[in-house]
Amino acid sequence: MTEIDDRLRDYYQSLQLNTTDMQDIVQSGQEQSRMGGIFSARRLGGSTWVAAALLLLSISVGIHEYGTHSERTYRTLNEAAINHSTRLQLEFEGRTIVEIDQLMLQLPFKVQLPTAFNKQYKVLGARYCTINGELAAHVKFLDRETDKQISLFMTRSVDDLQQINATSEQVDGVNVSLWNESGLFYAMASRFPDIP
Amino acid sequence: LLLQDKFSPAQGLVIIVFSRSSKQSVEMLIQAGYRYAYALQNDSGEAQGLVHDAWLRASQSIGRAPDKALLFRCVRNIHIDQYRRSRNVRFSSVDDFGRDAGDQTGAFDVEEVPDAQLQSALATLRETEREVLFLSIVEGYTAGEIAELTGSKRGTVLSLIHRARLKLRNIITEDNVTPFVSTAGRIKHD
Repeated sequence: MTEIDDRLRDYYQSLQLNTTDMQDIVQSGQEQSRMGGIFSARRLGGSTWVAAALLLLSISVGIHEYGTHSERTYRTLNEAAINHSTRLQLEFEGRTIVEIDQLMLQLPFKVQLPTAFNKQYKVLGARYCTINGELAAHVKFLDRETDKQISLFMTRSVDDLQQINATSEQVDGVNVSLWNESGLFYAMASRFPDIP
Repeated sequence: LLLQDKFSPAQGLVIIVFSRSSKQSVEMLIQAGYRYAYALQNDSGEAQGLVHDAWLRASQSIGRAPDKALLFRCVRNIHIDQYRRSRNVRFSSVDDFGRDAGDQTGAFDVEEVPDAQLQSALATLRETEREVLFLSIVEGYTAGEIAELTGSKRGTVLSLIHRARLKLRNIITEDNVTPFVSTAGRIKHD
């Protein structure tokens, strides 16, 4: 089968984005990036290229730090808080977590509640989202006592997420808890302090 | 001149080499993401849009250029999202793979197969089959790494790669050789 492999390799290697499309993507990514202005080849031209090169140098140092525990934790806390606050439309309606699990067919894991979850919460619905680049479930609940909404995020406990220690922090007014349990990574977010 | 004013020649050389290599590595990463998107979509326009969206999402989530693993995860997740919205294309699970790929060997040179024919042969494969072939053969991912990315079992991935490879070869063979002989010794006449 080597000849098939070689032919496939040649075929895919011949597929290339043209320069204009590549520039568009790089520039768009650059605008999205909070660091900004780092990856654009255009900005490296002319008299500013030395400054751009220095920025790249500093980014290279930063890349070594990328993936550290604190950064991963911070990033994940932020993702959970933003996902909770943006109030995106729920795509799946179900009265129980079992129904939600049956509806979210694309998830590579079973949707299940963590052990410490408060049973008085009513399921509102769910949608797909991503946590740390992993496909995740975002399930919303209503606390019948306080009439406030709670978000529970879950995804597979991949290596990056396994390294996050259980923690609870407040991010932009949202209380977020992170923890690993039974092969899943959980994040819970709410606007009020008594997260279970 | 600017370099000579502020840095030693050695420092300047390091900066030049680094800035070029960083730009190249970002472009190589995007090209790899584009090929992966192409393997999933089998359409250049769709693949371009997919890698564009994935690059934005990945850059936004970490605030800088992502690594390949993150970019590929974003490509895959956005592809699934798009499928979910359109609901007109079947994104089959790795575990759903069919069992119709018997080994059939034809006497012709695969290297001579034109791109257009290979592309149409790939189009007949399922997305999941194209995906594992691409990740395994082109990107050099191990079965374990593919299993991690796709959320499947390693054994399933190994089996799928084997079957997808046979299926692709059979499709190409059928287009090029008549008759052809299977490993079971049967001769098929059109």
